[in-house]
Amino acid sequence: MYTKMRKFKAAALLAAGLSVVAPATQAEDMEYQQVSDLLHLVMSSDRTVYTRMIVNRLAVKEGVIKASEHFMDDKALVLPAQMFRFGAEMVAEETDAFSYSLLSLWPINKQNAPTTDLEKEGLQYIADNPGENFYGEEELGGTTYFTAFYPDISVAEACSSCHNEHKDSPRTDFEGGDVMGGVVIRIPVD
Amino acid sequence: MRGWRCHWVVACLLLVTGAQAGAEGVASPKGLPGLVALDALPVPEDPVLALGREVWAEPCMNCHNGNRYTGAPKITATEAWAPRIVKGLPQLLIHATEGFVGPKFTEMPARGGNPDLTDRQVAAALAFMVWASGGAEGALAYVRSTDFPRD
Repeated sequence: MYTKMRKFKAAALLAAGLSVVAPATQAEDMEYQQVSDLLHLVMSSDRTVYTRMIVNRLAVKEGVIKASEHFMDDKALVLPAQMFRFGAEMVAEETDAFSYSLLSLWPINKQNAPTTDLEKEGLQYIADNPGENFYGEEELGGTTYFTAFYPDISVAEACSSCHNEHKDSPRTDFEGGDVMGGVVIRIPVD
Repeated sequence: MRGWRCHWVVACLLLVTGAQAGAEGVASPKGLPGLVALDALPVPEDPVLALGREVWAEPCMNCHNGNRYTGAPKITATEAWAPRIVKGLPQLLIHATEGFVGPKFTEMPARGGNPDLTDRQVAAALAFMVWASGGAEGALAYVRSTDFPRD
């Protein structure tokens, strides 16, 4: 568990991640955890809006289009998790100030399984402790990172049913509201 | 005759008061703090509401415990439940059994995602949530009415 509170000059990161130029007096005192929490708030809010206003509205309520893992072939909406990953890829092309990903102890795609010890510990913690986040620090390739883990929740019937029925899913008993994985935010410590 | 009526009224008042007593301890505008665990919720004296409490633990709790990601109204939060309760429990039961996408496009899966739940079990869980979230009198009246599903 991350206990050592470290200050972080966050103005550049806030500008990149939140499209906000924070006053220096506020940004300079920000801690890694606070920055990470704010980044996650934006990410999770955007994804929730996509899930509700696009997928639930058009695919579930109106039934005018479906959302599909194979969105190109099916001419369908991307799944909320795919939308999230595409955002992470775009951020990675723009900046090294932070990165984020969607990992799981029960990934459909094996590439989304935890690889570092901290990832395994963090994902297990948020799965065992619903409603809680996990924060830690790890060294990767000679760089020290502040790494945060936030629960990724099944917020729609399609989330749990798709994972339960997918041929590559290692777990088939997800229910609405379950922790299905975690959003992992990584910030290099200077 | 008048005395019998008086006793009946007193008995009903005691019944209703008793039904509310446990619920009043947990219901508040924002509800209990944090994620609501089953142990934090009182056991109703009414057997149907008590059944609803058992059903609530699986699968309703996952979303209605204050899990902010799902958008489901938190049990014990009267602010969240009041606008739903005014629709009437029969209407809410239709939403719960058939599934529902709300005005903000949050999704209530049919039978909480468990197709094996009977109408009576779903109705009992719904009544329990209403009972614990500011609608104790209405919930008690509902489970004793002819509207309540009998499997």
